Amino acid sequence: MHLIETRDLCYVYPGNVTALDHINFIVPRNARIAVIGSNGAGKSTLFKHFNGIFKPTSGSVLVRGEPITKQNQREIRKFVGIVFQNPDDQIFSPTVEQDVAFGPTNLGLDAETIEHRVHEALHIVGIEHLARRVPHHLSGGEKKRVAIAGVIAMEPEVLVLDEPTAGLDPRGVADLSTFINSLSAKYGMTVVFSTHDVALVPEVADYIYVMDRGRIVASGTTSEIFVQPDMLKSVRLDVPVLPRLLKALQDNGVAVSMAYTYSGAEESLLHAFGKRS
Amino acid sequence: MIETLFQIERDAYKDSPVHRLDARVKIVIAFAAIIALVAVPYSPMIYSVGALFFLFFGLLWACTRLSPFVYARRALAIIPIWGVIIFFQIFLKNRYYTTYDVVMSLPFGINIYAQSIEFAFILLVKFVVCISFIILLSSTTKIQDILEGGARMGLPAEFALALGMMIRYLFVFGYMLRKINESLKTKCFDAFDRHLPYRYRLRQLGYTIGTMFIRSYEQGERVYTSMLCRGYGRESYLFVSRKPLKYTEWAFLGCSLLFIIAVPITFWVTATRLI
Repeated sequence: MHLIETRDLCYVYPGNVTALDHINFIVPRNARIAVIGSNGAGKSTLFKHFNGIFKPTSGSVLVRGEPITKQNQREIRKFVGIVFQNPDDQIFSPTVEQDVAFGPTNLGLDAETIEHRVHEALHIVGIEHLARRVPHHLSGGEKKRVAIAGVIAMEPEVLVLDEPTAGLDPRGVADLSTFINSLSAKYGMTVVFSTHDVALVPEVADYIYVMDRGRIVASGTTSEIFVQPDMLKSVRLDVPVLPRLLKALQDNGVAVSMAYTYSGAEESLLHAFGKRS
Repeated sequence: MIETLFQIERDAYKDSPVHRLDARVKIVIAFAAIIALVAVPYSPMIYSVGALFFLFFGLLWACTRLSPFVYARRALAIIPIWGVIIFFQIFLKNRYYTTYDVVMSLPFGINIYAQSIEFAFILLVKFVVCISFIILLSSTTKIQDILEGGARMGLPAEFALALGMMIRYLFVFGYMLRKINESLKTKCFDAFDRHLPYRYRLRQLGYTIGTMFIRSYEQGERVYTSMLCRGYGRESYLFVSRKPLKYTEWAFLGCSLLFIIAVPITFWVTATRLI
């Protein structure tokens, strides 16, 4: 049984705009899944089906093998936490602490547990010092962390991040990738995220879905997806710089092995240039 | 206007003994002063009570380390609202006096009465002192602290949650408005530029206001969706952690309340004895 599964999921917006077209999507336990695609590919629409915000026009969404109903909706929203692209949509309380406490409060927890969860969530995202701050005094990266902490405080098993790198500086992106990896490795959380930033994907994803105009056009591991440059170009994406460079070197007769992450590429190049045995 | 909001916030973030006081202490003092002043009968004794209250306010303001100009600017900003109401009192009779002496007769049968002038002055004293305490509260307490203080004192959960969101998005839209203004300025648009046709300026302002409305509607939709994702329901409330008052705060509150209650009662008792 998968944590989340969609079967032939279709969604049509008012005005007869097809946003999702027969989507079959699987989220196994403790996976890190990237959904890549250009603007308007349907990534955010897909995510809103994972906790019952959107109802499928046809097809089904199963969470832990069960369809989403009004009865289990609350439980499912606790199980699947979604972090939206724009933190200003998600941070609606006057202080950071109160915002992070919003989810646990809705779960009916007592004050002591709420405080504990708020403290823990802020600790996990590394912003305990911002607890008493007001959201409009925070930077974009800090707001993003607050939004994530607000969802983590509900202790979901699946964390869905919609364009988590949008608006972040390079350091923010690096911190986020470390954070996503720690969620999976340290806390056993399943992470699903969408991005245009293909360079980030090999660093943080085990499995990739490529979406275009409401359809899944490809899916597979990093090494399976990033060897298809034509497919990626057809959906307005590209192969990350490192594998592209290594491929160019290979094509020019340099004996380097293919790698997708920074550390992998470093290892490969050092080996090729005789600096490492 | 929006810059005033940001300025009030900057003042509230400064540090002083008054700033450091718990919001509940300041809320109670402000409201106690207002209630006490409103309760004082419409008689000349309000001048003495008002003067003492204003002195108390002045002492507190001096402790805030904020400039008196800050206070003056904010008090004057409210003049169009309360100044007009007070000014028109001089032409009107009211239920607090039985006889009226005409000081000046104007055309169309309009008269200015001595008693109405006195009433207007009494009203002025009440307004100035009440508004001064509100200015003190808003200039030395962060908005979110006022809300938390209110919630800790029993403000209904529904109000607290709605007010909390209002505070949050007041600033979000403040920043949005600022960005729109900056964008208009970069395109050299000035709503008061007489070189531009009047109708064109009006239309552009209309677009700007329309954009704000549409954005606020869209923002509302997105916020509601994210609230649902975090389990929002009928039982939702704003989480406010417990925070007991310090002994010094209790002492200050006690002394202040004693002063606020004792002053009008003393004057009232003295006035009734004299009668």
